[in-house]
Amino acid sequence: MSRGVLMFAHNNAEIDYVKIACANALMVKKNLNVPVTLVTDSGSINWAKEIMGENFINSCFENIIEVDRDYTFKNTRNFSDTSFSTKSLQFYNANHWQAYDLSPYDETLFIDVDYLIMSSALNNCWGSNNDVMINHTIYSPGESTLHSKNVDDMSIALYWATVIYFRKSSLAEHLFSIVKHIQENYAYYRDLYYFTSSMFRNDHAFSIAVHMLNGFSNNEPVIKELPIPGMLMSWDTDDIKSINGINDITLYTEKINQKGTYLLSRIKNTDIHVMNKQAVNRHTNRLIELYRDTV
Amino acid sequence: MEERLQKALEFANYRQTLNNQLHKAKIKTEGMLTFAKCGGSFKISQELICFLDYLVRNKITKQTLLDSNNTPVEISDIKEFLKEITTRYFEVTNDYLQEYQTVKKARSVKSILDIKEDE
Repeated sequence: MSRGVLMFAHNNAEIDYVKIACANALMVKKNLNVPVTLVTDSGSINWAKEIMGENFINSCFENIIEVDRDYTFKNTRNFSDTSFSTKSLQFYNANHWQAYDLSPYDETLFIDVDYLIMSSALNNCWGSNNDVMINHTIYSPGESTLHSKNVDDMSIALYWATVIYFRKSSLAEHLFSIVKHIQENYAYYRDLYYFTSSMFRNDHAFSIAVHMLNGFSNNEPVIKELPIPGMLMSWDTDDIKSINGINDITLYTEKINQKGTYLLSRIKNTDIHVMNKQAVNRHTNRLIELYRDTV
Repeated sequence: MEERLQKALEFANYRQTLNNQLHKAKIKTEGMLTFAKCGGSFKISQELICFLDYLVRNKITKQTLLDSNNTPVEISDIKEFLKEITTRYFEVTNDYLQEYQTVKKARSVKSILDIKEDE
């Protein structure tokens, strides 16, 4: 039974997703000790090879799968770097439904490159009786409760496509097939499920797909949550203060409803989704430097 | 700003940071007390430990248990499972105690987060 991590990385004008993926791949190897496969496009990987060297890239990933990038897919997103800077950039996330077919593993942990693996918690997924697991429950460094969100105020439960565990199985195949269908008919599903944002979000597509697979219900879900109490989310209004060492990060966490006022928060041995991509981008060199000697 | 008010706000910040760090330590502990066995996912608790001990004392070696998702899972070696989860429970709670005490006795934001003066 083969097991591994799958990441997608497609650079835009400012964020080097492949470089972040390299840092996170080293973190995966250190903490989960499984191989990593990267799905990317020729432009992104050629740039990475140019700036970091082919040997280093190959040492991070067991497989690199190059896919064609659909340049007709336009998905503009506001990338915030704290509350004081927001840039409108392209966000290429059109091909996550391909993860099922592209994954070379029997059991796959499909993670976003900015979900930094700083613990072995996700190793509890391997060998699970559940064919698919995806999280609904979250918490953030500045809050003191586990909670969940909805796709919109009047809509269904929001599942985070940040981390998805799946085994090659009919249930997982159905999930990814439905996500593809939702993506192709996104305007229709946006109206049906009452959300307003026109930007394509995999979180929304997977939430709808989970809802459909559960028999159009969020009760007694056939798709369970990951074996973690909740997913730690640092929002794009937060910033990374410092990388203190292996599996040890200090963040500036913006206080709720107090723009520009921060609390310090230290995260040790806990996986974290850092949504401020520019902040991760600024610290990838430090992460690579720290982790490359440990694997 | 008036000095007394400034001190009060600093204390509020300190309390908020302290509570956040304790909360994160608690959730991390909960995560580490999750144990995968025979395809199931179990939350290690004193209740589970006592129940397994009851089974072992009654010489029951193989038993179906409900995991955290209430999915039935057959455990083929109850004694071994008890040993594994007890070891994990002690390791994790000892680490939690250490972290809890370090945070609890800190009297400033800097000491809670172990930030050096020159940082």
